[in-house]
Amino acid sequence: MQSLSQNRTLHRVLILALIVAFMIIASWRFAPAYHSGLSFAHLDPFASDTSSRTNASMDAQIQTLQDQLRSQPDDWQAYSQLGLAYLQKARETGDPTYYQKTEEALDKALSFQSDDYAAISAKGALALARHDFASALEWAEKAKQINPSRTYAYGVIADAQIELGHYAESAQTLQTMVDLRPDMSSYSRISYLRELYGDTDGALELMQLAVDSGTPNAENTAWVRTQLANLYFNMGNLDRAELEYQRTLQDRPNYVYAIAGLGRVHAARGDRSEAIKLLNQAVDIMPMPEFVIILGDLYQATDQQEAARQQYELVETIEKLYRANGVDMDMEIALFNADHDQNLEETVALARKAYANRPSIHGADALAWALYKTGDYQQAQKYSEEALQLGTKDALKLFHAGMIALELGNKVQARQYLEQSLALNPHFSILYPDEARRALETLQP
Amino acid sequence: MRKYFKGVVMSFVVLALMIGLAPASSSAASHREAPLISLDPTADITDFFMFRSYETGQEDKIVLVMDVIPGEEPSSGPNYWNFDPTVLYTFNIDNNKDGNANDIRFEIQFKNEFRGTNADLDLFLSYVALPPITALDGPGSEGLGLRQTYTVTMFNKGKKTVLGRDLIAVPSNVGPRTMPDYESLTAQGIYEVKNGVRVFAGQRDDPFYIDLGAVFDTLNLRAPGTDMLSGFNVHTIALEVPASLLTKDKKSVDDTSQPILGAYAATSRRAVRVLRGDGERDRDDDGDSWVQVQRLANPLVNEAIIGTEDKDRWNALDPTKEKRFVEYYTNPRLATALEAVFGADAAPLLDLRDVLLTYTPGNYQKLSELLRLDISVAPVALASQNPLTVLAGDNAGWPNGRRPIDDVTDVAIRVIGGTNYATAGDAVDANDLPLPEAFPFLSTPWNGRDRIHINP
Repeated sequence: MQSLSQNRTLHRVLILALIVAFMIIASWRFAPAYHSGLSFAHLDPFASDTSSRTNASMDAQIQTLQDQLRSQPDDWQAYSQLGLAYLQKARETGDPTYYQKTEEALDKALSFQSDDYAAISAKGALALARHDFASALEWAEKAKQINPSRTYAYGVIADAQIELGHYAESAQTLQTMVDLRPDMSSYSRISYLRELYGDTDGALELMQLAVDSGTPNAENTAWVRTQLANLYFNMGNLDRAELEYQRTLQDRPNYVYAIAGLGRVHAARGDRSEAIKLLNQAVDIMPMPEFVIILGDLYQATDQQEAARQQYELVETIEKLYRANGVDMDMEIALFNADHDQNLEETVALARKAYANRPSIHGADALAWALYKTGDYQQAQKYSEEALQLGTKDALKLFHAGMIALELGNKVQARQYLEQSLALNPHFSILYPDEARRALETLQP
Repeated sequence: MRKYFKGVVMSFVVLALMIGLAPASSSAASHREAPLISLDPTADITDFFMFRSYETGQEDKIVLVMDVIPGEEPSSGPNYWNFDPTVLYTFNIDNNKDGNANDIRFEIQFKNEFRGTNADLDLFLSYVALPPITALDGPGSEGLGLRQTYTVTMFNKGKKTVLGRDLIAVPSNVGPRTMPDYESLTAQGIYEVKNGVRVFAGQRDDPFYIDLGAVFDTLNLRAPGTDMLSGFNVHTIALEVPASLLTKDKKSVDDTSQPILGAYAATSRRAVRVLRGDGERDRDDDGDSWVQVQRLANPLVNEAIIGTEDKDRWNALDPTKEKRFVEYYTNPRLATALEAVFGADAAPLLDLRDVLLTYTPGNYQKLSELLRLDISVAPVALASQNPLTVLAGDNAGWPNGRRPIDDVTDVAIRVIGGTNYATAGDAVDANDLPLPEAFPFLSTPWNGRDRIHINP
């Protein structure tokens, strides 16, 4: 009896010891971002420095969690993680059907544990992805109440505030976030806010800092470097933009945002066939609406009407797919329709609805442009002014303002806007730079 | 059997609790989906060591080591791992037992130097053997496309001394063709700087050891265990400092009247004003302000004692604010977790506050989480060091400072587990590579070419 009991004690001791070791070391070693408070290395595909394996490992994670839930159907943390895994899949594949799965898993987690910080903030991130910014704000505020010292929720709050046009509040949120923990997440958001406020140098400086703070080969580093490249592109610095896109692709050869960016650089330089090739490559990897639109515009600009029409139809199909999965695309579609003179009357209504949900400078600009297309220049001017209220150096918005002013007969103003637009970036769009130049010619004193 | 299984499942739940979850950022159409999580390995301190040197003839020196970047795969080229120029790395020391580690501070800051594209390849590579890299500077260093240099600065009660600048970090160990004599590069990377200090920064073998794979395989244990961290590297910053430079009375290990030091390592990033005024710049050369993003003194604390929900806050705070986290020490959640899993009592051998938070056992008025070292305790030669330290009568190891050899996992298990766990452990009792007995005290890193992942 004695030896049996000793044996059992030893067994127990061993297990206990190993569990302790397991917990200590696992959290110690294999959660590289644990100190950011929200990470689960084994679920985070970016924890691996070999990015090519990302998809496989994500699928494996999902499988493991599903198996786990079959044997433990009330494991709320597994549900939380499953939700996050689906959200990540959506990001990697661009397939919005994962949003529904994300939602189901997170709701399940919350049904067991209603105050779980991770699930609640993930609901916020899901709402962001679906462009439901009011609800994203609500979820993230709730997460912040639960734990005001973690930075994750602040990122969601700031993103939502920016999209809702609450710029001063978002500056405060980001100040809190960066004071808590300066890192790539906060630096890149601050860069964006500075960009919106027209502080291009400050935006560049912080996006570079975000890149420099990033982990080599990680997806999020690729993301911020692509943003840095976009900033250079928007300043008309094509060479530097190209360099940063190339650097991104050196680390991650299939990084779709960088491929598309490179395509835009080629288009700007007049090499449209190379641009079409790259955009096709991007769309093949991930048919994001913004890539499909650029591709359609490139076909149109090269007189390939049939190919352009196919891409534009694809936009509508994608939009339906997104909508069916709860993603609000009103603003993007309104702008797309206005640009392509489709369903203009409905488009104004759509843009008004979008603006009501997203009263940001982007929402105001889309509405202004839709109104311009239907000939309501007075109203268009009002919203265009709103779109420029922060002093954003955005060539497209300035072009919109210039064209509206032209129709209203404000020649001096029109010339100023159009000159500014082309000076900022002579390649600001596939469709409009020539139109802007022609308009300017008519305005020469 | 069923109970055993339940225990295993529970342990996963506990693990998840402790590590926390990672909402990943998501992406749909056109709003800006900035990253919501920053994986931040370059600011992630995996280990902090402080001990009296056991190198022959250097016994009057104190060694401070921090390792960053967990789990470096040796072959992860072409970029490899580097120190982070946006991070400020610091060692912070308390020499008057007031718990405030602000008496002496060492700051290490890196710069990247891009030395151009190799002309023969017309392609930027961090490291290339054209010709083989045999030197950190001058002839033989042409293949270092990327070179990191660093500055070491000492602050003594605010008095600033630049100990060394333009020092060169030893690059990652790419392989024998690119770096035919890595030991020589390491030797070149050890600098004697001002005030009798020696420094080293560069890649090393990760000195930590644990059989994690067996644990993850549903506690499929084995004896001997396999070191899960075998074959992985870290980046190391090491300082060897004359004791008289650290003690309050500036006296040596034998003469000082205040032989107890407390210390922690930390990483910080630049503070930023979100919206700048006209003409305002983000960086002043002298007026930089920094925000601490991680600190590490004793092993286990950040990872196993402080709750996930408090980690951001804990990492950002000064150790003197430890009192607000005292519950974690008086009621360790490890013990709670164990009881939840097995229903058995867990009774730490001693009050964790006495070991981790105070210089005077029983006095909990001021609590500060520091690694404490009594430098009057003679160092033990490497060959005679016992990884189980004080539990095996070797008082020159953790928690009296910490040496690379110390098996902190087993020590912690036995201390926190109590008398029932006197022989518990993971059956991995040593690092995969032998530790050297001289500065910088950590082994040569695995090279990228020859390291293969077939254990052991």
